[in-house]
Amino acid sequence: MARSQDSKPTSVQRRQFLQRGAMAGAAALVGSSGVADAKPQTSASPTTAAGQAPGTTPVMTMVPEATPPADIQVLGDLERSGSDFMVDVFKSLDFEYICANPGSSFRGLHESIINYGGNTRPELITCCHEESSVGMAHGYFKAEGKPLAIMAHGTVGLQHAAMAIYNAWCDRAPVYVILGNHSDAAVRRAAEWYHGVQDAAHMVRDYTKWDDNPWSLGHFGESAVRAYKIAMTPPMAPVVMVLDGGLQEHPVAAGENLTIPRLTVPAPPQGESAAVEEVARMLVAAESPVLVADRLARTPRGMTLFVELAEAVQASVIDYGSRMNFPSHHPLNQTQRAGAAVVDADVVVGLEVMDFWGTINRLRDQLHRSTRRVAKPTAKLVTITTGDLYIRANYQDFRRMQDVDLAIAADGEATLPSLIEAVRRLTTGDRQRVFDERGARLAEASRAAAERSRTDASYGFDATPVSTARLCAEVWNQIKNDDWALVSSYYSPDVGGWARKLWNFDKSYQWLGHAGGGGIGYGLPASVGAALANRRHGRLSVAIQTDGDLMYAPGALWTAAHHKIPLLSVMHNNRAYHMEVMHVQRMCNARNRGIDRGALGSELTDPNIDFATLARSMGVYAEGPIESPSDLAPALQRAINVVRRGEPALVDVVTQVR
Amino acid sequence: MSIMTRARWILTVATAILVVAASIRVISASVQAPTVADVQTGQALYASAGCAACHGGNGQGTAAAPRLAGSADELPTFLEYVRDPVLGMPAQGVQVVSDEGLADIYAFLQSSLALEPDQTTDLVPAGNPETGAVLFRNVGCYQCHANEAQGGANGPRIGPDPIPFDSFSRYVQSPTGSMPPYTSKVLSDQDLADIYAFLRARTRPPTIDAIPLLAPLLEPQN
Repeated sequence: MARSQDSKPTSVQRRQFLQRGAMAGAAALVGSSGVADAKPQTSASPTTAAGQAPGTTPVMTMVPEATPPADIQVLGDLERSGSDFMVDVFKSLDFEYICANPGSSFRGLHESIINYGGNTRPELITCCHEESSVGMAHGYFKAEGKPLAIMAHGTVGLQHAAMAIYNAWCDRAPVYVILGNHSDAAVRRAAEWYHGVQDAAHMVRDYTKWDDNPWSLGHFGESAVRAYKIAMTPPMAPVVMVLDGGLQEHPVAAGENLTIPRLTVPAPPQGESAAVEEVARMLVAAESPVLVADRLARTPRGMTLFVELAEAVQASVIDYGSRMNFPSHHPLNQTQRAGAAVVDADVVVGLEVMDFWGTINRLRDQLHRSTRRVAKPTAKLVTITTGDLYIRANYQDFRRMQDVDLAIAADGEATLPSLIEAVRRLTTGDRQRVFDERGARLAEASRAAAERSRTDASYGFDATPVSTARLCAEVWNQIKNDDWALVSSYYSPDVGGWARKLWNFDKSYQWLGHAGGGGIGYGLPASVGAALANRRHGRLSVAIQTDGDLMYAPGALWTAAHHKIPLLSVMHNNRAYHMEVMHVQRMCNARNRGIDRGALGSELTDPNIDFATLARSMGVYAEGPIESPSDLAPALQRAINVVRRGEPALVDVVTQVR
Repeated sequence: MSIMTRARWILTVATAILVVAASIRVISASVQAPTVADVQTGQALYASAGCAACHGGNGQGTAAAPRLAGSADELPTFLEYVRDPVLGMPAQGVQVVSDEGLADIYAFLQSSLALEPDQTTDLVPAGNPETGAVLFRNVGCYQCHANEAQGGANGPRIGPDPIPFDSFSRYVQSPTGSMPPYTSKVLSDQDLADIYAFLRARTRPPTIDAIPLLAPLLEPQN
């Protein structure tokens, strides 16, 4: 018997219900002592009152019918659940979306989001894999500058999500991970034993910034806001909130005074003023200064400031491209001749560069690995990075240590204004003339490098399968007059990629970098997540989607179709994990055994994967496989028309290796 | 200078001009064709900068380093390589030789004052391009150099103008960079000749101005 919704029990009555419920539960257990006891009852009743056919299992035995009702079955009209309050907190943090593959350990929160919260801010996005949920949040953050929340089981869901969390960690991207868990072993359902864990966040603690497992709703409110604050403070990183199933599902105790702390994201630290002055002095005095950026631009203002700094001193810029740091075809952009710029440099300043050692040195990957410094021995080296503020021990994403002349532990973007001001203050008329002459030389070098890229692209331009240069040139020709964004490209740092050579990237949202940790499977969900962010801005989202990456969790295509997320995915389908082919080939050569079988285990052929059919099966408009370059343009045009209508589309292009 | 010496000098310079004009490949319309003085300056710089120690007095190549004379590399590629070479060759920064100086050295290496580029042609053993195409695929050259040997992010373009065969075979067997070595146990001399024939048979593209899809981007704003 359900409790009347009109009669609200007092706390005393509630305790009585609890006691009766516990006794009834015990009675039920005694009365149905296992399967063996239940069977005779079933077999002894050939028919039921409802006229059920003999030999079938009755839908209800006498045991539950005889069991008194549970103590509390529904909330009163004026009551709310713990997860309702959780939704209030998440709304205060202004999560626009929350991605999840459904799971019973967070069913309370799931229901609160869609009913109590009205399924808006956050709106639930249905994902087919927890790795897709995190990948979407990763891509969304880099397009929008805000984190997404994701929900997952504390055990099996997190295990699926772990690789994507590691990618986000390495990429210093905040993802707000919410894990469901039933801590109280005394009331777990059967499945909740498999989905129960003592310390859910443990398995990702090495590559998340903070986690908590709140024991009360008051505790939850504080920790939820604290988690957001920590995630968004540079260096940004994923955080984990473990939400107990009971805490989600139980009613909020009457009279419980729950408050939501106000969110204030800390201002990131600027470089110490004397150190910044010293860097400015080095830059102004330098003859060949080089500015290297990787995860520098946290916000659109970051790119604007970086351009100001580079122009103030007319320095060479190398953009490693984990973020959109610098316009791709700015005259000072020397990324296409990065090696030559570093060799010439007398001052190299690394701004939020993870692998500064790799800028200054080279490693030769032969049987005997060797290294050498490529920068001049006299070159002054400076780093400005939050990487010096926060580091973890186990995973080695902090990269090799480079000895430097000056290291500033600070946020790169936050330090730029004071560095620009100091450079301008220290620049004399004589130095300005030197800067201007240098700027003209760099502009010419940049122009020549761009010209060389065009020439390089022309070789094999009409070949079948399609060259990657042709692929990028064809896509660019179709989108260049739109408000476009390349939301995902090859998984690796894309310094050598054709898009950055042939397309004109000059807006902060047009390039979103890469996976971070090199975990394959990032490209598809990250591009769907970024396209979700771009939808509101009316941008044409384009992804150059690799085949091996898509096969990790192709269900993100269905998510894009289901939620009407406009995204053009152009397959770079080279039918293999070619990076791995090359590694095996290297071993074959080093062992002098020949490489005829080097591709075994890495190719995706026999049968070839039909990505167009795969996409169509999930409701995505698709064309292909396209092998002839002459067929590309019309297919792209048709697909882009679909995307402009607000839906995803995929064009499968069979390509050369890279 | 005697009349005969002067005449020989004039002939040499005139020949150099003709060869430079015919053979130098520059991709930038703004790069000026080298003058005789440039070639002579390049010859002097080539010696003073120490290039000859490994590449031979006229860029003909030695056991220690490949031939440079008549290289198919374009000037920007040459500049990039000298500034940022793969392991084995020391990087030459602007403090050693300026970009202009390197352009002069390049002009020298492309001129008749260095060895005739075509001299290497006679040294190429006969190869079958069709067999070479199969080998190019089977031994994985295409992984870095792409199907048409046009190059990419992981390896340079090596066709249709590969480096001279002797340098090619030496590099393949004992690369100075990160390229996997192919010893004679896995690639015979005939295999190399077949691959080389395949490289030389690659199609040369039209000029980039004839490819509308590769039209230059709008002039960037400073």
